[in-house]
Amino acid sequence: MPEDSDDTSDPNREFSITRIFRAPRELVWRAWTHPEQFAQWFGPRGYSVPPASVSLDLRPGGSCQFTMVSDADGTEFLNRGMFTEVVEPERLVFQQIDSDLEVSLTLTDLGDGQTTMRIEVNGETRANEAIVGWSSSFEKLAESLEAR
Amino acid sequence: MAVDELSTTFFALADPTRRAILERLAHGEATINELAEPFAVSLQAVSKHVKVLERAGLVTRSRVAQTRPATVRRRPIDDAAEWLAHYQRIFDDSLNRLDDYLRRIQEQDDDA
Repeated sequence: MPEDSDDTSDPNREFSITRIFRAPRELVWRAWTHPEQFAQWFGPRGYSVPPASVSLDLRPGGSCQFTMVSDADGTEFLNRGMFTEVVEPERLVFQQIDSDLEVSLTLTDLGDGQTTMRIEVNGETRANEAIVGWSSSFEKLAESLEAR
Repeated sequence: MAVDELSTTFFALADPTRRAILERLAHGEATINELAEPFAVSLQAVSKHVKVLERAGLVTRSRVAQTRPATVRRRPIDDAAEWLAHYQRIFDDSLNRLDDYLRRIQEQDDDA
């Protein structure tokens, strides 16, 4: 199992995930940036991504689009975004259009055939200033609602 | 829940005074006057905040009493929390699958 850690110390950050993969960085980069590879693994359990639905225009301002399809009932979830930063083979940032979340991916070559991947989901953008500093107080709010 | 509704929820929750108002309401309904008490802001300001919360469906106000006490509705908050949890799950699940995928293609390379 890859190492996993959540870092919630930065209040501007919605969440972040850091993992180490036993694969060279180039391979991990390709898994993210080649549509037919991306379609093989992206999505939560119970969903698949049809390769034909994936379009990744790898340049700042380029669009990033794919559809997740529920295996159970065929419900489709269209994801639309725009790349804001593309630095092969180490950094990819995209802005989701519908949720307005910014997702950044950073790959670090560990030099021994392993790669650290860090994903940060930021709520710093317009609609998601909302989320900033909100998570922790939400917890408190949920607790006080429970306590009613 | 539609993304638009979520945006409204997040926007409404973005303000610390509004969150404090919701926390106060979590303990029971309250009038604008009662809500304004702990804050160093005017009744009008509190009333405005409550309107934003009301529009977002986070708060309802009684039509019966003249003071129109406000009550919290937790449904949109639950939806927003669920959406965030779902979002995080997408990444967690995906990275597990990516791990498998990377392993698989490297084994194929070894076989070749």
